[in-house]
Amino acid sequence: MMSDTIKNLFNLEDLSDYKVAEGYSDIRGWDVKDANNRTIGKVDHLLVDKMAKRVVYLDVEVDESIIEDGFDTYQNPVSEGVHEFLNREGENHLIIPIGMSSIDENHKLVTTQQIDSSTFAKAKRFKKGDVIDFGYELNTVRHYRGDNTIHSSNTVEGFYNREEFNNTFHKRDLE
Amino acid sequence: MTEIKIEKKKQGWVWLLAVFFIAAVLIYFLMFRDKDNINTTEAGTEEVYISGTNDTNLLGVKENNSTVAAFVSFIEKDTSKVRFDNAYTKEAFLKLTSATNAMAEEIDYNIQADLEMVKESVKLINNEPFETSLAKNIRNAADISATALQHMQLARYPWLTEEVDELKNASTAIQPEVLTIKQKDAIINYFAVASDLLHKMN
Repeated sequence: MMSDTIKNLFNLEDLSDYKVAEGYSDIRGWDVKDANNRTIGKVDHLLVDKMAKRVVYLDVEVDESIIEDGFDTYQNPVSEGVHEFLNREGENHLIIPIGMSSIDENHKLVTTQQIDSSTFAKAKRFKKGDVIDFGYELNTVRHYRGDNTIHSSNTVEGFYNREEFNNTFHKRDLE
Repeated sequence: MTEIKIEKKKQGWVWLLAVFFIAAVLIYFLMFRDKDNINTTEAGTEEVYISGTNDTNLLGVKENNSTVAAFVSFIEKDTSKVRFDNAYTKEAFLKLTSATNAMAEEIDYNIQADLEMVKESVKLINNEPFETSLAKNIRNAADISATALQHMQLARYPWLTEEVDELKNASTAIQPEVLTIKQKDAIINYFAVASDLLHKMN
C-alpha cells in the first residue's frame, strides 16, 4: 500500500533545486495544534505538488500523547467499510492537507480548526521517510472529512484542486 | 492564508562561475600589464646611461667618441713607419690622457683626480732632462692611466676585466730602472693594450 510514489507529490527536501518561495513562510519546525488547541506535533516536511509549484500537505511528526490515544481507540472504526487504522510502533507521521490548516505567523504556529484530537488519534500514520501513495492520501482526506465517498473522480481537474488543499475551504464548526 | 508556494533556487554555481571568470580576467590583465612594463624596462636599460651608479654595463653601447678614436688610430698606425722616440711617447701619453678624459665624460664618470695625476706625470715626462728618470716617469704615468681606466671599467664595463688586467700587466712590464730605449716593446705594448681597451669601451 505504501510502496508507490505519486509522481507529482514530492518532499521539498528531495527537490534540490526548489525552495519555499520568497514571501512565504517556511513552517517546518512549527508546532501543530488541533481543533481542541492541543499540540499534536511539529511540521517535519513539506510535501509539494511539483507541477503546481506549491505545498499540498504538511508532513507532521506527532507527539507521543497522540500515539497513546491511537492505541486506545484503534478498536473503534470511524465508520463501516473503512479499514481499521492500525499504527505500529515507530509510525509517528501524519499528513495534513494544507487547506485544512491555518498559519499563525506571529506565534510560528499551525492550527487545524477542522480536525480534532480524536480524529488525529485515529488517523493512520506512517514511519518517517516512508513514501506514501495515493491510496493513503485518499483515506487520510476521507478520514479527516468523515466522508468515505470522497474519491479522486469527484473533482474534474485534479485531486489537489479540492477545497481541502486550497484557501477556499470553508470552515466547519466541530462543536 | 495557508498557501505556501515553492520556487526554483537561484543557480549558485552560475554566480560562482561568473565571479571566478571575472577574477581570472582581472588577474590576466594585471599580469599582462605587468609583463608589458617589465619588457619595456629591460629594453630601456640597454640604451640609457645611468650616471652615478656602479652597476651598469655599457659594453654594448657605442659612444664613438672622436678623441678616443684619434688615440686608437695614433697607436694602431703602422709601427714600422713610426719613429719610436721620446716625442712619440709624450704624444702617445697626451693622446691617451685626452682619450681617457673624453671616455670618462662620455660615460659620465668622474676621474678628475686620476687625470690630474696623469697630467702631472706626463709633465714630468716632458720636462725630464735625464734619460734614466724618464722610464720611471713613463712607468708612473702608465700606472696612473691604467688605474684611471680600471676605475672606469669597474663602474661601467664589468666584462672588460681581462683587458684591464692586461693593461696593468703591461704597465708593470715597464721597468723604471731600465732605459726607455731598451724597453721600447714594453712601452709600445702598453699603448697597444690601452688602445684596445679604449676602443672596446668606445
